[in-house]
Amino acid sequence: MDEAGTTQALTTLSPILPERMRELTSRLRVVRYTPGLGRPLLQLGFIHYARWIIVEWLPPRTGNGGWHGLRWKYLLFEGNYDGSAGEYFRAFSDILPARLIGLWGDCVGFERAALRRHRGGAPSVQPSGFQTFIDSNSLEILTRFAAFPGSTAIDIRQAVTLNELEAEASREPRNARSARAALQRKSEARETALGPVSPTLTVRERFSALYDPWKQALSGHYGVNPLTVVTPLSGERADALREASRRRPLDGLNGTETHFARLSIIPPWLTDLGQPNPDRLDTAYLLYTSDSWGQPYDHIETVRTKLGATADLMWGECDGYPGHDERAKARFHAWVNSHTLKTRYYVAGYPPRSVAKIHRYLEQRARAAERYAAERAAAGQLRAGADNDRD
Amino acid sequence: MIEIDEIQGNVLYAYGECFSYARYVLLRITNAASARERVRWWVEEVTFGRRPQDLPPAVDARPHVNIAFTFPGLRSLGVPDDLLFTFPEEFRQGPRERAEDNGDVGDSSAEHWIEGLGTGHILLVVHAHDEEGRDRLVADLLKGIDASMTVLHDLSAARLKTRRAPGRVQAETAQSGQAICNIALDREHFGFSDGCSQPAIEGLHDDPTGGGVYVRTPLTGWQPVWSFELLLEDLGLKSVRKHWRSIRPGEFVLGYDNEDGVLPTGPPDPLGPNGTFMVYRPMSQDVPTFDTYVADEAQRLELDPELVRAKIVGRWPDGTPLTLCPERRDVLIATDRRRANDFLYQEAGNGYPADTDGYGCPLGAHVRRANPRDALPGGGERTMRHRIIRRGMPYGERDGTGDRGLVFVCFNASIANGFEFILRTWCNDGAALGLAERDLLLQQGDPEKFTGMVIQFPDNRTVVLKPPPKPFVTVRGCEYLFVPSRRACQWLANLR
Repeated sequence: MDEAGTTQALTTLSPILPERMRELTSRLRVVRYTPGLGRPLLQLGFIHYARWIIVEWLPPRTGNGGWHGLRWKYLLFEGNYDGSAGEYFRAFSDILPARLIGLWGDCVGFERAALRRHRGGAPSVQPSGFQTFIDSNSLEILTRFAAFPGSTAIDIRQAVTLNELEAEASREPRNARSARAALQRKSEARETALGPVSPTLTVRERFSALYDPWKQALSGHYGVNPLTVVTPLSGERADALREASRRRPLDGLNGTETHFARLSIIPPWLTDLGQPNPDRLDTAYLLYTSDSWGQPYDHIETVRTKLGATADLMWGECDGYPGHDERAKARFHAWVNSHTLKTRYYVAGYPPRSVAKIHRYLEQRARAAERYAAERAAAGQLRAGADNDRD
Repeated sequence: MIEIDEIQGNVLYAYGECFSYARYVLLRITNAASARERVRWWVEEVTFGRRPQDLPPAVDARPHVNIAFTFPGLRSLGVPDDLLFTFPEEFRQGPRERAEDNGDVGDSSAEHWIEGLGTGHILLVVHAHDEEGRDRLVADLLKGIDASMTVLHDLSAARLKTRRAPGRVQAETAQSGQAICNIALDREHFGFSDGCSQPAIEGLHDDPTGGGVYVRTPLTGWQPVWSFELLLEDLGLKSVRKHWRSIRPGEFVLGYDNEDGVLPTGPPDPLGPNGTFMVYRPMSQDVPTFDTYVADEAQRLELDPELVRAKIVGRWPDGTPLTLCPERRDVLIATDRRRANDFLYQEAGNGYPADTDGYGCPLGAHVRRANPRDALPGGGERTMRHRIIRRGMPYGERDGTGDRGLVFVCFNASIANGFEFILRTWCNDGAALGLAERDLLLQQGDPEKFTGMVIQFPDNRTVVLKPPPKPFVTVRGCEYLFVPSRRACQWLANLR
């Protein structure tokens, strides 16, 4: 686990019980394509992005981009969230136990650590047990990048809402009804700007929470898209990356359309969590993950151009890695694509917007808050002045 | 089953309104051997397991003594290291080391605390009916103490009584149709009734309404039925069934299951079980600044000053919750502890609408921050591990010019999850929970970042209270203490 600004990051890898594999796969498919099933997660208000991936193969240390199958399949989870880790686990366990069981209940060790069965009722999750389970499955995070380190998911959601409300309020009213609606929007905008506003979803947000994920899941394009690249990593290269992490190598993504990015390590022993006949990995693996606005191609190009040296450090020792030169552009894309894992389920805490837009919306919200507060204060002073004149 | 007789008095049950005088004496051990002798004697005097119904008020006149130890205090008494390191980290570190994270900066910073606070070893607390009885007992307890300890800090406190003005009583009587006379109200120096909401504890309080937590009702029955029910809830087609339930005792006392279903962190038997952690935190209240601020803002915003006060706190001065009575206070509710606590923010209740948007009690009001009930995303489950038992008392003269304020005292099984979490996450920040401002009443932390407060009204009016020129409350010191059980006290007294 790692902290940066107001957001925290968590990456876990958990072996899936073979007899439950089919069930988990279909469940992930259902939640992905059923609008609204992500709603309870979003209502917690502290998730920026979360993804679930089933890892069935890993690229071998030698060989040219081939993959070798694993004895066990693994559930890879990655999340960016606000608040403390304890709060996060407790909120999940207490408020969404069924969802939690649905996502991790098929993994080795979950039942023993966290699941509590009750006769004649739904099972529950013990938060400390869940935290123990997560701790034992957590990956080391080397470094990370956040485009909005000082803003919570709720801040961003409110900033996006404010922008929409102000845009609607500023439209030329066509009739009395739309003029009334515009006035209403203006008032809502003021409340949103001044905050704090209720963290519960508005009707508009509820609709978006149902419709947008469905549309995105069907198209496979989330607006903000996840990218997960897994590559073999030698011990020496891991040490070099740890050393380089002190200089925050992912900060090169500043000013790009990357919302979050991180480097994590899957150690060779992590695949042995006490299950029978575990996988014996001959090397550690490096995970490069990101959430970025636009197509994955654009983000890979950003990595090539903005993180060139870091990309070479991350992947330079891998067979077939072509380097980040302009001449190797096509091969670079092909190589990264060949090491990319497919996301099974993806959750975004706010409507998909570009980084530049969200920065603008956050600034707009800060300015609007100042403006509204000043307007109010001026109105108060004017009234006070008028009263003094009368006296 | 809670072993009430093992737990020190005033923890689970308050001593009550009859015990209106208190004195807090903080000591530092200078000679361990004679200090242990002294502790052995004091332990004999400590009140354990007092229930409100134990004795009729007329008979129950004996002053009560309580004793608590800081981490350095336990070490000085000779508690072995292997036991000392079973105490939670925040207790071992102490309040001075954690002051900055708690928002104790500027005038509230540890360097400005009353000399000795934050460095003490033993806190003696005496509650009595009258001033003379209290001071006599303290003098007895401290007689000949010089050989073993020095007194670092000695603070007297007393409940402030407010008798309603006759005209106001008549008006209230006419309004309510009932005769209510001569009601003495406990107030702190800003004029508010204090300690209105206390947690309802499993095995101790029969009625969890208001004091407990409002959580999802467990799903029971045939699996396909509740699975379908869950699906409907996820899709937003059915609302989640919720109910009030009491909070597990392990959130307040060591040795019992907490809300995680495990024992809270603490030392093993006999030192830990039935003990609890106490935060002692005298806070000075700047009454003239608060009054002037309220008057100025009320004039600027054309609001009733009483309403401005109430919006800052979230209750009317008499304790009536704004969620129940946004327009005016209601003496019938204020004087009925159960009714004064029987409300939620997200859900409508008996005779009041839902207050989701903070039209009644503002989203940033003090009481809504300190105990958000169901207001946080996710509901009551988010608050059930962050509740504290409060036993504060005002100090200083009501109308005097000298230092006056509140002796904030709270009990919790985990200072990090209770007191510190509430202060840091809900009062001093709250950003991750949708609260953009700080608690206007406390205004702790960097003075450069003082915030105002947004108040929204049902008619779409929004007003903003300006940031105050300086904080209304200054922390004068803090101690993190361990309040041992009867068995633990005897064990400590017999240390060699």
